[in-house]
Amino acid sequence: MNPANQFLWRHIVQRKWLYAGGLLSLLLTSITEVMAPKFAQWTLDAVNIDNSLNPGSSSGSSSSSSNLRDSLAWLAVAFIFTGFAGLAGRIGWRQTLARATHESGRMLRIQLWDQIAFLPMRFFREGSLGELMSRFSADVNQARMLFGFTLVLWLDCVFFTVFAFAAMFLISWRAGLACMIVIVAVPALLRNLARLEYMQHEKSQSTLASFSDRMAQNLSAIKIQRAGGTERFWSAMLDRGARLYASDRLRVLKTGLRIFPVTSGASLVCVAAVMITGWFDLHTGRIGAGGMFALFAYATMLQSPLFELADLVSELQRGRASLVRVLEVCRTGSILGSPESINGEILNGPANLHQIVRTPVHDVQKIAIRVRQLVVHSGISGHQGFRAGPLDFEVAPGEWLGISGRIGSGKSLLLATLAGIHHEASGTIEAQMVTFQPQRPFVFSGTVRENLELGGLADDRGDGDDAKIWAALETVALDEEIRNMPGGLEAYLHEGGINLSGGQRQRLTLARALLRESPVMLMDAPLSALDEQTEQKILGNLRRRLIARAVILVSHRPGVLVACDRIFKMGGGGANEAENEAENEADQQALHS
Amino acid sequence: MKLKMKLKMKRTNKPYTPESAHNRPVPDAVGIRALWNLAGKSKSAMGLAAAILMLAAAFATTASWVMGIGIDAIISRQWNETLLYGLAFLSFECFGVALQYFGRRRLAVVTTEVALDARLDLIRKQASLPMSYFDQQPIGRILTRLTNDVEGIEGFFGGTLARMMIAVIQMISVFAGLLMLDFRFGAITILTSVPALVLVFTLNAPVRRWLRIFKYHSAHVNSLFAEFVSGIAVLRTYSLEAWARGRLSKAIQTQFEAGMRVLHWNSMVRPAAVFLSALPMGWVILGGGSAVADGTMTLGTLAVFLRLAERYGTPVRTITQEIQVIQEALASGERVHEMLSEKSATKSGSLRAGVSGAVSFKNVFLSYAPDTLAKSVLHDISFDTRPGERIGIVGRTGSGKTSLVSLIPGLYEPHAGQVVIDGVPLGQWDMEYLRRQISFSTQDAILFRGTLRENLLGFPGTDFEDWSSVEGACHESGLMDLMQKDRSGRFNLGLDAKVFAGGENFSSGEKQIIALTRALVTRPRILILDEATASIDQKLEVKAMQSIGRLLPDCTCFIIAHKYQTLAECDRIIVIDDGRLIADIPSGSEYEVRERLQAIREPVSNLV
Repeated sequence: MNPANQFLWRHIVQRKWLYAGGLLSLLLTSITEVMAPKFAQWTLDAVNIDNSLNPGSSSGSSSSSSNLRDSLAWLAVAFIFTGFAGLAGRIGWRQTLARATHESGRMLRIQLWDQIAFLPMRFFREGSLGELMSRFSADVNQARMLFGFTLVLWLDCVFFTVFAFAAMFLISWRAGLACMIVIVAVPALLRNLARLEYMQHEKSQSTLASFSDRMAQNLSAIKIQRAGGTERFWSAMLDRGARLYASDRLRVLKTGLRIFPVTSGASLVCVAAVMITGWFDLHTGRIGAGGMFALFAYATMLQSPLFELADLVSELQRGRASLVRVLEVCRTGSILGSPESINGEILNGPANLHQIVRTPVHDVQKIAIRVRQLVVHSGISGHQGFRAGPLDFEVAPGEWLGISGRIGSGKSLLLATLAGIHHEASGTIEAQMVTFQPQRPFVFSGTVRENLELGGLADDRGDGDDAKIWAALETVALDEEIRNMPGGLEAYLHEGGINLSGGQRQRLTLARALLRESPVMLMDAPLSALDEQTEQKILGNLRRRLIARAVILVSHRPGVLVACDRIFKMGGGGANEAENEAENEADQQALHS
Repeated sequence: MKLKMKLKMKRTNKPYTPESAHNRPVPDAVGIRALWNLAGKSKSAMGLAAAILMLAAAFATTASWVMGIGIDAIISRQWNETLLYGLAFLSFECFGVALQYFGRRRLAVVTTEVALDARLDLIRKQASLPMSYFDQQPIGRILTRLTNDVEGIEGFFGGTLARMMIAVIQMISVFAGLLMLDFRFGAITILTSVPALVLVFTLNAPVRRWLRIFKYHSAHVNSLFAEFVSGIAVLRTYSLEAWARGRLSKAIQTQFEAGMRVLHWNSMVRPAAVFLSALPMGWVILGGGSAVADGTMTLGTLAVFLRLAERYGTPVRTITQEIQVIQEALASGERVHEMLSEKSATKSGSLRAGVSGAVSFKNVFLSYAPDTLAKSVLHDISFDTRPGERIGIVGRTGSGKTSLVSLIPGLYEPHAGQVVIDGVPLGQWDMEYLRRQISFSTQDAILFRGTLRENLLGFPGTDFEDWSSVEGACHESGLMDLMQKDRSGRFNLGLDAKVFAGGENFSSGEKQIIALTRALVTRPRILILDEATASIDQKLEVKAMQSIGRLLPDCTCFIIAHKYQTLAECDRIIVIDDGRLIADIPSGSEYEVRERLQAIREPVSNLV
């Protein structure tokens, strides 16, 4: 069984009472909908019988006339009553099945995050944000329909058709049978058309997605376009994309419209069939004018479920495809487990190639972090061979270790491994609690305070906390700028901190790292966006403030490395030690110049 | 730069509330006018489609009328006439269906054209907007204009408008049919349809607001999710998974509740609209039946009334649904229209000539918001350079160095003074032509998703002849060396190596090397390096600077840097402080330069 169907079915069984309620409501709705032509029939027949009893009399016998008025009044009352039943049915399915749509959307989103939160880091490296984003928003939006609205459309279509046929058969089995033969043939005719439309729709959606992608790419490169005079090439590319999508979309619309003459044609054939069979039935007096009218009405009504058939099929297909995509992430499974189990456990890399053992430090007075036989793998899928290490080193509390090395030698990966977010590595890490300052500072949308506290300090906020925050901001020389912002600590920072400069972002996240007060600080090029003057000032502050903490700092700026007690040079793997040494020398010279 | 940041903050630093966010309500009239303008030259074509649909509806109504006469014939048992009317009915219906098909097809073609035109207009527009437009708002918002909002407009013209048009035409044809059959009775029937219409137009108003709030919360959930995914490294190192889950699930719950509010309302209003749209039918049963009994109406006419009254429900349902989503299209239309009416950058001149690279600033003032009293970013800057000269620019963060060099390729317009290249003011040059001879590389190396090759060219596509210059540039910048030494496999495809959005799969040093290579590919006459080598290790940097001298001996270079090593080969060093040019020092030995800079003290005292 398809995993999507299985998931859907399990969900429905779990909530069977809600779905049963929805089913009944829909039944009620469909019955009342099919009743309208019957009321027309009854009215016409009532009047017609009355007319034929008293042909040509306008005054008529008062008794039969008042009888007629009575029955008309009853009909009207019954009609209104049916209307109320329809009202109840419609409210009913919305409160059950439409609600189920929203609820399942909520459920799928939370489930998705619970999986994503514990996926291994390599999932996030390969430009996967867009992919995850489309599953989280577009796919969940589409998939949740399966749990409610799509179900409603299908059931409504089926009930309506069944009841309409039933009503026709009750009036005249000949007309019913004739229409049934016509209608049953239509889905076969529509099937190919629906499939074609679905395929074309998918194609146009992917054209649109790549257009939007191109547009994003274009905007990200706007400055180099302007500076390099290449706008023309970009615009031409976008122009092509827009035209391609327009032609794709027009094709979908045209295919979709071809369904219209098929269904309308079918209903016209039905009407013709009803006319022929009805003509005989009228002749033999089996039905009256009212019956004839009702048959007509049903024959016309039958086109609406047919018309929706193509939509129903594609809605179902799309919903299932989306649900499969959502479940795919859920089934990938997390290798990390829950956050509590990260420390002190053996974590497996991809395909169990590497093993890394993390243990707490025993001698906390002397050692803050100790690394034994650590080999870091690049872990980018599809490639092998990039390795750094084996590395052995230890850092004592209060000691600063600088790490330098040429581009791509694995400096950042080493820090990420120590921080416990990169798992493609082997060896042993003994460490106290670490705080990691990544190369790219990450600012969440929210206030300055929220960004600094990040859920950590918020529980018991007092004046002491504010003092701590200001002290941290002062250390990174950001206090003045925050004070000048409207709102100070409560100033709102937008997504990605776009209302901060690169340097401000770096300092803010550095202050955040300081506030964690962990014994080990890992900093990856922490001050790279600042001018040297500010850099030196902050370094001085940091050295004063972080007296008891171990610091591991990646940088290639001599001015920064000078502040470290020891400098550790990373090469491009174990293969070229000689070259490393030569580079080391060059660096030593650079340091002393 | 600092001023620009402040400006940005002023523009965007409003508190986030559902009402104030990007979902601000647009008055209907404004939105409708915007959409009307977007329809542009297709309006008459759209009118033609509407006329065809109108004719189709007229045929359908006539068919119903013929059916009424047919039913009268049945009752008077005139069988041959019945057959005749039956045939007439069928052929009218057939015509109606055929016309409707053609009308809808026509409409689809026209609306697709409207959407395409809007897209093309926006593409042209964004290519002509000044750089300051992009500085002042988040890229995400502009992207939304160019994608989601156009899709919203497309959905409106291709879906909502078409369906509304058909519904209104249906309704009008039903009303016209009712009135023509029997004016008095028809008028009363129309009156009974009023409650449904009133309900649709009044009770739907609040739902539009709630829908807007729902959209806002959905956007919030999505942006929160995107944020947490991109910040996953921070969340993990700080063990904040549970905290993030809490925030996200709270946002999802809020979104759910907003959705439920819309649902609760709709679960009352929509069934009520359907219920009320049955009133005419009820009236026809009661009043029409009596009229036939009184002999003031034939049975056939009653049948037509019943049929028309029954048909009234469909358009009401359509309008109830569409009127809620129309708000979004109006807002999208207004936003797109707003972007289309933004002021374009000043038209470029037409001079195309070989550039020798003599750049002069003549009393240049620059302010990012000239109308306000804000302090200018550059203040009365004047200097001249010879072709092939190397100018180092130093100064504190925020002193105006980047703004200064941004004026050379005309990214911004000075609000007073002139930038002159080869004796010709910037405004007289054909900017595109001129810019092809200028290269500009910044500290935040700009890389876009694509291949390494595309990134080196600066645009996607491979229609480029001079590959030897690309390879030459790779050698000179040190990129080739980097690629050969790299063991991560990222460069396995050579120039076709994949580059992720923002160059995320490369370290900042690697990104700078790639951007530097790009700057060399076009063999520019003027080269601007804005701390372009700040993240590259010293050895590579020195190599790169030397090879620039070799590769581009006659190129005028502007180099912003904090390190003396970067400026070692400069002919002159310009010192900028607080938007003013405070010193212009000729080159000399390192010692001499340092001595002179020391004399100016503060701004550059830390140059190492």
